[in-house]
Amino acid sequence: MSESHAPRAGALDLAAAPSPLNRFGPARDYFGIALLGIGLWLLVVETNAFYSSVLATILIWTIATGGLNIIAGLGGYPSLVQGAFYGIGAYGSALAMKWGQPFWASCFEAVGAASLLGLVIGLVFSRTRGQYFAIGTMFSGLAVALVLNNWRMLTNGQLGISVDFGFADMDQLNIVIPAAAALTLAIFRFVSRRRLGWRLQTILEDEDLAEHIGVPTARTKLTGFVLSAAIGAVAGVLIGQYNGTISPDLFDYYVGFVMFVALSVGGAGRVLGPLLGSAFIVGIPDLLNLSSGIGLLIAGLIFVLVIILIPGGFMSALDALVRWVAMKAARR
Amino acid sequence: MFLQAVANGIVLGSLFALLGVGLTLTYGVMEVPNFAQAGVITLAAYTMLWLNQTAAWPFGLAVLGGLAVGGVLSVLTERLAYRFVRTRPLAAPVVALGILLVLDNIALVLFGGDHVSLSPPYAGDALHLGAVNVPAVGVALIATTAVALLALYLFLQRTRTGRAIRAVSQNAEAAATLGIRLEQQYVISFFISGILAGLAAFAYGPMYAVFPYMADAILLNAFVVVVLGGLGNVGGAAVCGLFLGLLESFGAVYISAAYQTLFGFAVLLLMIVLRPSGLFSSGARRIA
Repeated sequence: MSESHAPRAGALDLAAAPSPLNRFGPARDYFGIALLGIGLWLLVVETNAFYSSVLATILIWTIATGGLNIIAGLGGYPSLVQGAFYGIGAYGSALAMKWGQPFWASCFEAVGAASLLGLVIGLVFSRTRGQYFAIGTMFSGLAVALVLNNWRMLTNGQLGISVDFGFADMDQLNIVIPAAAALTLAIFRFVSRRRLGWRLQTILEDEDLAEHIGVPTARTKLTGFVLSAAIGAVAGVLIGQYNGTISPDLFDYYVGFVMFVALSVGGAGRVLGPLLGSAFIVGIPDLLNLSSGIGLLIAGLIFVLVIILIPGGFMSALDALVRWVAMKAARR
Repeated sequence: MFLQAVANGIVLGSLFALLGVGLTLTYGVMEVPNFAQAGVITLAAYTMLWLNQTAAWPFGLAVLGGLAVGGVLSVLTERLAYRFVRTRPLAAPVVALGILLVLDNIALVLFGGDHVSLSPPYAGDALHLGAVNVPAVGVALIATTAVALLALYLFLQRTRTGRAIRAVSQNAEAAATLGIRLEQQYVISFFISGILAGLAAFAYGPMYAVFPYMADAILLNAFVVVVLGGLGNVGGAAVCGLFLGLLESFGAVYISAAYQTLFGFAVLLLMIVLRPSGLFSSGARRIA
C-alpha cells in the first residue's frame, strides 16, 4: 500500500486533493451523485412526515451550502452572505408570483436578482481579503435582513408573506428538491475540475502568486461569487415553495454565518461536504429536540471541537476511515 | 434635537470605541475575528448582576468581579480554542461563532432568557446641559471609555509588554525572531480584551438590558470600527468609534431608526471602495 494518498497536512482538503474517494473517474462520480439523489428522493417519499420535512430542509440547505462551496470551498473566501441570497431567492420568487408572473419565470427572476446583488457585493468586497471579506459580507447579509424586516410595504415585515404554490402537487416538489440537491453537487463537481475551479483553487493556495502567473483573480472571484449567489437563490425558491410562508427570521444575518459553519464542519471544497454539514447543522437540533439553551450550547461545543480536531471537516474524517479500511483489506 | 443627537452620538460612540479597541487588539495579534467578545460581555454583565443583586456585593466590587470574569473567560477562549486555529484563517470565524454560541447559551442556561437590568446606584440621575439630557449611565460610559483608552494607549506606547504586543501585531514572525514570546503576548492581549469587554458590560448593561444575546448586534458595529480604524490602532478605533456613534445617532434621528446599523455599513462600503487600505492605515498590513 503506497502512502501517496496521504492528505496534505493543514491545508483544507480540496475536491482535487488525493483521496481514496476520488480515485474513480468523472463518470463514476456523476453516476454516484445521481444514485445518491435517487436514494434521497426515496427517503423523502418513504419516511413519515416529520423525517421527510427534516430531510427536505437538509436538502435545501445542501443546495445553499453547495453554492457557497464554490466561493468558500474552492476559492477560500469566507462568504457569510449566503443567507441573504437564500432570502432573495425566497422573497423574489414569492413576490414575482404575487405580481402575476408564472412560477418558472419567477424562479429565473429571483435567481437573476440574487446574481445581480451578488455582482454588486462581489464588486465591492472581492477587493478585500480574509477576515475583512468575512466581516464585509456579513454586513451585506445584515443589510438584506434589515430590508426584509423593515420594508413592510413589500415584505409585510416580521409577519412574512405567503407563497403561491408553483408545482402541480407535493409529489412533484418532493422530486424537485432531491434532484436540485444532487444537481448542485454535480455542478460543484463539474466546476471544480474546470478552469474556473482550478483558478479558484490557485487563489486559495496563494492569491498573489496566482496573479503573478496570470490568473485573472478579480474576475475569477467575481464569477465564483455570483455563481454561489445564484445557487443560493435556488435554495431560497425551494424553501418558499416547501414552507408555503416565509418570514425574515428564516433569512436573518446569522443564517449566512451558520451556512458557512455547516460547510466547514462538513468539509469545505469537497463535493459531499455541504450534504454532511447540512445534515449535521439542520438535522441534529431538529431530531434531538433539545431545549434551545442546552442544544445550542452543545452545538457550539461540537463546532469548535470538529473544526479544531478534524480540520477538513467530516469529509476528511471519512477519507481517513476509508483509507484505514482499505489498508486493513490490503494486509489481509 | 441637534445637540441631543450629538450627545447621544458621543455616548454611543464611546461604547463603539470601547468595543472596537478590544477587538482591534486581539484581531491585531492573532487575526481572529473575535465574535466571542459578545459572549464575554454577556457573561461579565451577568456576573456583575449576580454579585450585586443575589450575593449583595456593593456595586463597585461587583463590577470588579465582572471585569475579572471577563478577563479570565477571554483568556480561556484563546487557550482552549483560538490558539489551535491561528494558522487557519478559514476556520477562525467558525470557531468564533462556536464559542459565542457556547458563552451566550451558558448565560441562557444559568440565568434564563429574561431581560433584566443592571442598576448602578446612580441609575436614576441625569446630567442636564441646557436642553440636552445625558443620563448618568451615559456619563459613566464616556468616562470609562476615556480612562480605558488613555490607559491602554499609555500601556501600548510606554511599556515593554505594550511594545511587544504592537510588534507581534505588525509582524508575528519578525517579532518571534527578535525573541518576543508570542504565546505570552496572545494571552496578555486576550486578557486586556476581556477586561475591556467587562468594562463594556459595566457601561452598556445599565443603558439597555442584560440578556443572553445582548451584545451580538452591537458587536457588528464594533467590527466596522475595527476595519475603519485600522488594526491595532487604538487612536484610530477611538476616533472611528466616536465618528460611527455620531453618524448612527444622526441617521437615526434624521433618516430612520430602523436602519441605524446600516449607516455604519454604508461608511464601510465607501471606505473599501475609496480607500481600501483603511482610514488610518500604517501600511503594515494589507486588507485588499
